[in-house]
Amino acid sequence: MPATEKTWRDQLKMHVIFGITSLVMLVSTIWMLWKDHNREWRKWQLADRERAHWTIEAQLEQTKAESQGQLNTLYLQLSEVKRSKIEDALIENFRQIVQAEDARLAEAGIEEKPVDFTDLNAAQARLQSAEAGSDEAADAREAVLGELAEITNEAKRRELALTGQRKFMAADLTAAVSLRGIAVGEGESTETHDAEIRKLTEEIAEQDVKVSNAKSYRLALESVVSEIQATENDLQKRVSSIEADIARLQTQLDQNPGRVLDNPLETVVRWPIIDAFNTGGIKLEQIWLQDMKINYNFSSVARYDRCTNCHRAIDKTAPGSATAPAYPAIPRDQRVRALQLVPPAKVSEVVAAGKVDASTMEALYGLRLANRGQVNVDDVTVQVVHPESAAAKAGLETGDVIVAINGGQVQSAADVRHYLLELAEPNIPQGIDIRRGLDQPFTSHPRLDLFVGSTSPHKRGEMGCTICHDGQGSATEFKWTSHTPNDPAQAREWALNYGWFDNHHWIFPMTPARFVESNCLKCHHNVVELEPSDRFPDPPAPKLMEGYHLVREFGCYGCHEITGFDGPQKRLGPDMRIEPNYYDVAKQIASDPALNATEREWAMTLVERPEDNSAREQLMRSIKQDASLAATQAPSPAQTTARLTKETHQLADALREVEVPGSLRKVGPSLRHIGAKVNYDWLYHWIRRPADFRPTTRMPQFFGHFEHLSDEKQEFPLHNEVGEVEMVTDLDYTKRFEHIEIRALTEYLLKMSQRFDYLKPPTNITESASPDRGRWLFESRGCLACHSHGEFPGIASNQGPDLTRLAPKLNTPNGQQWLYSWLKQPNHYHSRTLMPNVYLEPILETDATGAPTGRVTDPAADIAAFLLGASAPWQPEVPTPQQQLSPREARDLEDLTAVWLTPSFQSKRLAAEYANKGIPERIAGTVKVDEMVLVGSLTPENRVEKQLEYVARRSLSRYGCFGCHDIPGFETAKPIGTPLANWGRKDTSQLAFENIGQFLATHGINGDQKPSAGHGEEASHEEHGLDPGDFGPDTGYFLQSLLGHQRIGFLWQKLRMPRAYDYQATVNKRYDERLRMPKFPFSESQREAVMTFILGLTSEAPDPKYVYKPTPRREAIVKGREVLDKYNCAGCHALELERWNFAFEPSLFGEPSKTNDYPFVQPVLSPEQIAASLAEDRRGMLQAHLYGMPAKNETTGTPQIVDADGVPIEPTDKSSLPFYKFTLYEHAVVNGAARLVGEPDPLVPASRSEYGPLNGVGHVGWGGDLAKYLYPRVIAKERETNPSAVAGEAWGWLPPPLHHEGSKVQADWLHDFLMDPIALRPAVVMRMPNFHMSSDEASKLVNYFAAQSNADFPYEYNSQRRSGYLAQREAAHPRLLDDAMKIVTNNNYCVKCHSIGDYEVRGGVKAQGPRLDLAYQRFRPEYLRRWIASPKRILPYTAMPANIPYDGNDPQLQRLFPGSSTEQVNGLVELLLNFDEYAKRRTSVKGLVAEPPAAAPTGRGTPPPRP
Amino acid sequence: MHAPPDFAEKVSSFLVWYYITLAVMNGVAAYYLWQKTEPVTYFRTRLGNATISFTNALLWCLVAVAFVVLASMTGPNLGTMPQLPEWFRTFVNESTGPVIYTVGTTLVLMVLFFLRSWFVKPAVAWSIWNLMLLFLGLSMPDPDFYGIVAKPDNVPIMALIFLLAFFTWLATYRAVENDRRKELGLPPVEKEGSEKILVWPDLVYTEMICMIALTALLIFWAMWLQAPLEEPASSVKTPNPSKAPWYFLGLQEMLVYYDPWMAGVVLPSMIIVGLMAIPYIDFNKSGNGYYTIKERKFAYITFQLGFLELWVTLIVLGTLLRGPNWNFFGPYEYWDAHKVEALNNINLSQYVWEIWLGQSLPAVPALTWLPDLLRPFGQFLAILFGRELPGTLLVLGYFIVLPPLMAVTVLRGFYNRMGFIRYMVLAYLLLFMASLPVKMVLRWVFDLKYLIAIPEYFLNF
Repeated sequence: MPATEKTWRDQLKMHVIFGITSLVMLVSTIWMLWKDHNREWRKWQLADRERAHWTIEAQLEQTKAESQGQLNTLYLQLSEVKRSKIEDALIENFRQIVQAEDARLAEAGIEEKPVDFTDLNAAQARLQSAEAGSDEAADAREAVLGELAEITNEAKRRELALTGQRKFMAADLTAAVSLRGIAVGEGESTETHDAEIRKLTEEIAEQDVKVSNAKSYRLALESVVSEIQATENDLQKRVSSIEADIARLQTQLDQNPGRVLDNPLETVVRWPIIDAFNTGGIKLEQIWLQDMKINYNFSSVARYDRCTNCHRAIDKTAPGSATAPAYPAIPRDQRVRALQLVPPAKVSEVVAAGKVDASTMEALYGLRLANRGQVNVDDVTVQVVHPESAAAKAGLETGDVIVAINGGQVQSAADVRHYLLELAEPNIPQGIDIRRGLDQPFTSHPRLDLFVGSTSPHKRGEMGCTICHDGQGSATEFKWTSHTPNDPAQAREWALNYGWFDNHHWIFPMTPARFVESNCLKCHHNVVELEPSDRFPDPPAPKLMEGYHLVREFGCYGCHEITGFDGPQKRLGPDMRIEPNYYDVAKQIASDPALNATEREWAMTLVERPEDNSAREQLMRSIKQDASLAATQAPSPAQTTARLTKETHQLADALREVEVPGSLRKVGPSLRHIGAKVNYDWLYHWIRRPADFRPTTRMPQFFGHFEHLSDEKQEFPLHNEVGEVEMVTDLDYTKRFEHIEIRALTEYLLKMSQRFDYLKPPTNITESASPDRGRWLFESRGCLACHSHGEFPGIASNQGPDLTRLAPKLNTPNGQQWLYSWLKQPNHYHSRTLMPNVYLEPILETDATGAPTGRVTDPAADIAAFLLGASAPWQPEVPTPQQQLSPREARDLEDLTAVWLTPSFQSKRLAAEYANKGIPERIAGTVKVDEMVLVGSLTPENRVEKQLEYVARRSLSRYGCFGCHDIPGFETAKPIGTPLANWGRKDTSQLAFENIGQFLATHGINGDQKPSAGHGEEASHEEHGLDPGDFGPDTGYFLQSLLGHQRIGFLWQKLRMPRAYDYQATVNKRYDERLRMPKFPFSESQREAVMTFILGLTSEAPDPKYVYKPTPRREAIVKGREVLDKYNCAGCHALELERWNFAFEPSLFGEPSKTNDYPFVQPVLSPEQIAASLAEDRRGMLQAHLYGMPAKNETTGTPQIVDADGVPIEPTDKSSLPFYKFTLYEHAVVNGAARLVGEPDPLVPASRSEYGPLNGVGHVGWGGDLAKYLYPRVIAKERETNPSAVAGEAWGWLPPPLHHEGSKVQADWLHDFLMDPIALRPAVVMRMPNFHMSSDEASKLVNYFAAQSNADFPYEYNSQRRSGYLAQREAAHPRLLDDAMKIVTNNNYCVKCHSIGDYEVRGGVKAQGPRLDLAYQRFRPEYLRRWIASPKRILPYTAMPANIPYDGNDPQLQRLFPGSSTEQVNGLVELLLNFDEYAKRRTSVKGLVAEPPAAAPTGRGTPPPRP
Repeated sequence: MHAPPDFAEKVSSFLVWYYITLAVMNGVAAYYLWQKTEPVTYFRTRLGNATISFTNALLWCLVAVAFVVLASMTGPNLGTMPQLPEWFRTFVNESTGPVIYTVGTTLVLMVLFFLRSWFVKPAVAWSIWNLMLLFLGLSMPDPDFYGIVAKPDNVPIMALIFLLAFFTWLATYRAVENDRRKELGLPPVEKEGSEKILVWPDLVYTEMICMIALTALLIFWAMWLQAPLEEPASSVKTPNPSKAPWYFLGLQEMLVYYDPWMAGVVLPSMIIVGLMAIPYIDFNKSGNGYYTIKERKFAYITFQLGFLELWVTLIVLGTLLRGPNWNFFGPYEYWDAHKVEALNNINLSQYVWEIWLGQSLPAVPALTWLPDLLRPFGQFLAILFGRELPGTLLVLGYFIVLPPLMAVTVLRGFYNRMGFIRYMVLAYLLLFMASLPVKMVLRWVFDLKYLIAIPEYFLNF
């Protein structure tokens, strides 16, 4: 105890301080709780709960509104039925059943009280006397039904009693059986038991009869009663179903609380801690993906995605749809749309009556507004739209926010009434601006068919969100989730509204919207599986696919390896590697003159078919054997010395087997024989700037990128003409060196070019080359499927180069010869070219009657003449330099040589000396391959030549030309670029941004401005003077990314100006160390597409169970797709036709025409299909899905627009309603009925503004551009000689659509056809060319077609050709084949158009069909049957008639082939499928073999004596 | 650095409150001076008929007004926000470096020490305090500066600077006061009120209040500045700069000058041992229970040198001024990871053998005649007394020659009073402490890397 009460400090003051600090502590604690409780996600969840409440309420009201009328009708009908009379016959029927039963019972002696009908009779009498529809009738009816029910119940009671008795008997029987078993076990007699069992069994049998009688009696009664009540029950069921819907929504609404404020109790239970007892739907959710790991460097951790805490509606589908999003994420700029609302006629009178309230609105317009907005309370939002009302017709939907009416802003519901009731005039459309759709996070995923949805392949619970989107899935706050803005404006908006910042600590920031498709590549390693398919006709990843194709077309993989494998088994991503260079190597080996004949044969085999393993291995072994001779130092007398050169020996290794070979070819043409093709003049300009000669070329530009170079400071040393060092600017320095490089490359390529044997024209040609003939040949022989040409503006393809301008390149003696050889047989020049052999064989001209005129033309010469003649002029940008170097150029060459030598000799002085005098022989053993050129002393005579060669070799290596071209001497060179396999995750610290910000700031965003003087150097880092906000969303976004030193920005700039990163860096780099990436001619969107692909290369394949594993059928489609793309099959053939999905008024399509088809060609419609085609939407419209294409105008080839009568509409006619005649290629179900292929084309309402159907979407087809282009042209051509040619049949003269190919042809046949196409259809203007594809590729295509058509593959079993089948059939129909042959050979039938055996059809080729004798190899049996039965059901355009109409009783036909028409068709099929058997039977060989002389009998086993 | 889009808003919303707080602080000070103390009038002026005395209260009142004006000028616009001029920032960035920083700190501490009786005057100290805060405020609109000081990690360091300044002032103020009283023959201030006080309530109650207040402060702090969550650790990509916890940044700075075993093991051990030894070394009885400088000059200076200079300022340097690649960055400089500083340092042996004597370094003898077990040891000795002989001699000289030399010269009194062992302990501790600045100076002046460099055995000194 203190001695005194006095304390050091004033206690009162201390208490006050204590009090204050305690209060502060309390505040801090409460604040902490509050902060923890009010985390951001709660806010969003509460908002979403309110929104959900709003939606359910709206749905409920909408359902009520929609069903009210129906429900009222139903109630009315129900009450009517309940007041109606009952047919006496039915009651009498009932009575008879009862009486019959009573009689039966009495007969059987069963005592049952007979049924008393008194009450029933009385009730029936009452009902008869009552007036139908009166209350009395209702009463009496109920009484009758009550009586009937009573009797039925009695019958039921009796049945139950009997069933009960049977149960007891059965139990007794079981007991008896068990007692007998015991008796047997104990060795006792079983007699008594057996008797008992027998007795019981008999009794049970009797009882069963009784039960069954009672049951059938009861059922009979019940059926009568239900017949009486049938209508009633049916109505009741419909009422219940509607009521259940409403009740369900009502329950949902009751269970789904809306605003917290609406519920006083909830304001309390939402408090911290207490809220644990009642979440009210507000709780933290997460998707836990145990196997979908995320890589945290030291370990891979299971993923937790909490995105759905805020994005709660992400997987919500629209009512009644499995895939349509409930809350579509409509882009902001498309949200506001203008609608036209037509006020009904009554509007003025209603308003005149002063009724301007909400109910009037609803009554007049069918429009009810909600009392608050869906998310923003103040929005004037549509709640209910009555079906078929004015509002529904205008297209208003629940949830639309009315923004303005007739330009006037709308703030409240009263405004809407003001505009629509008070100001609107009847029948005058009112413009309504509405805003549709919600903001994030209230929206649903836009592609629920693909993602998140329960029927999608990427289900929410299985995939989560961050595997595709990236971002911080565990975070629950906007700013921590690493959302990534799509442009600077969005970044700013987010930063201000949500505290967003660029959290560089999270290494997987969300992929911005523009690149979201990138991440598909994590699991879809084959890429092409992301093309649109039957299941997903909307392209799943269009941008990514475009990027992929660009990477393929531009050959990025030539320099940048894209490896998708980690070892032979583990797959990490897309694999795009060049195929093993066996072709180049074999070509080079073949140039070794010392090769022996066998080796040369192997080498040539490899050149033709690099996939030939045995030739490759034998060649390698042989060369290695020779090399081992060379390695032996002192050859003993037994050994010979090596034959082959050292270079050939070194190439042997390149023939080794590759474990997982790449599959892509080099994209550029071979330069191995370039000297045989072009000359110095052209090549110089081409290397200098390819676009100078051909603006559309895909070859990138290597030289002339000077935007980053300075032309002010003189900092670079060069020697002038007299050998003095002078300082020049960077620009001069670079220009002079590049000039030398281009010249060196040009000369070197020509110099090392190997010999090429041109093809010689055939000798029987009588006509000289004609550009006019060439023009038509060029157009019609398929060239335009891959090439563009200025003369033919209607079609453009970029599979091959644009051929508009060829003369300046090839109009030389060499060039002309080369062009002829190339056209005639492209693989003769380069066997890895994708250009096919189009069979330009000499043409024997015929006259109109088909008789030969004796003139023979050479199509290859004609086309060459056309190409060289119809060439656009060209003036190179710069004059071609003299081949002799000027003294200054010679100095520059030497300087450049010295620069190149510097790294090898570490000393500029030595390098300069060697460049001038040559590398001394004594150190020859230490120098690199390229430098061997300079070994030995250089003389004034050979100096320039050697230096040029050296520089050219170095430049080739540096720029990696061999990545795209086959260049002699560079067969084994490795790709020079950065591998891209995981570029999408490349650490930004490994990217050299250098001074790029400064460059763009001083040279302008496109690098085309002159830097303002003095600005460049002083501007400090902070002041680069570029604000991304100043640019458009795209440029701004990329610029922001670039200045923020992010990957995306780097890539963007690298693709735009690849050398710009050298800005201000060239000063400290040797010339050979500078950046060397060329510039590719990408457009903005192409660049973004390429980036999408590159950014998706992450090598982050998730657990194999998530990686896309196609079904075998799907895999076949994917693999085949690669080959189709490779050879551009779609250039000629339509591989997929158009799919049109649209809505239409039910009255639009009339009844389909009646057809008389074989049962097996008729479509089988499922009830679901029919029901779906009859389902009306809210507008009262039906949905149709058509497959095919609109009919084309026969002179222009464009889709023909017609009026309602099918008459073409003139472009000037603006009044008629437009339609397309849509030619079906697959049966469709429209309006509950089948529309068949080959029937008259249905008219589909056309959209006025753009191509496609009105009220719907037309998914474009795939391929067939050339066929469409040629369609009008072949008609015109044909009509020159045959004015009556039918336009529709012209499709048959063109490459056929292949959408059914798999079900049509046999796999074997197709494979062989693809490998070596035969001429098939005489009518077709061109032949299928020969692509020289490998057997593997052909197989892939075969499997593709089969898989696509759901046919069997890779083999199919053909039962109709198995042994014994014919015998079986002939047992039923003797002389089957002979009879069928009668049909074939009848002049009215097959042979009218088809040749068969040694019979040839005469007449114009357009009327000829394919030969029939090979049909057995080609067709699948079922297809052939359907084809013969009804060709138009398969190909609507075919000229082939249905020769054997169904059930037609043509006596003539009977004479040929007795039997029904089906049997006749089958007979024809069997003949065609067994034509070889038929031919065999008619061929006798026996007579050709001489009878052997009768031999003397010899011992067994002794061979007959030889003659 | 590119300011994030909301940077101006963020910094201005902070600065407005910051300046208002400073205004209130000065207002309270002025009110306090006006109410509680005798006014100090600097000068008077006539305004019409009235005579206005320019007193200290009025001065701080005006300062408060000035801060209000600053607050009002601080809007969400970087262009118009009051801030240090660009040229000044550039000047600071370009003129600072580790040498200037370290030497400058030393000089500042020396000036503060010699002129302490002037600096501790409340008005002077208050002015400096205000200037420090103003300087901080004016620097904030610089995104680079803001990025460093506002990083949640670094906020304690900023607080440390101000707290340290305050407490150093407090201690010095009281010491100066006591020294003055001593000269006048008065007892120290602490002596005057040396009554016994009660554990409860005077001690425990106060402690409890402090505890509550501090807990509340920590909660607020935790809510305001949340713990930063950085990227997942990766063995292939380490953070740049890689920094130790703030309290070890002094040690990390030593790594610039010393081999890890020295900076990471020997010197920290010496610090701990030295701190433990202080009670046994200290023979000066004066200064017990009160602040003084004059009576404990040696202890005071040693402490200030060891703590303020070699510990705290190195932490500040390491935290705020060391950026990527452990390069020095000015306070307003962008932390550019691409900045490279040439580190062309040379070992003493290279100086001697290669530069002065113009011959190559002596080779390590093979010593094949030694048994395998002993050979490394022999080679080590051979290097130590062969190739590295100059360094070895210097180091040995430093540690062997200097203590006795000091004992007979500058520290003669110490030696006499402490005896041999206690003196030698003191001498070695001092020498070790001094070795850091010595090494720093050698590095700056001669680009000296190591005195003894034996990388073969991972031993450098």
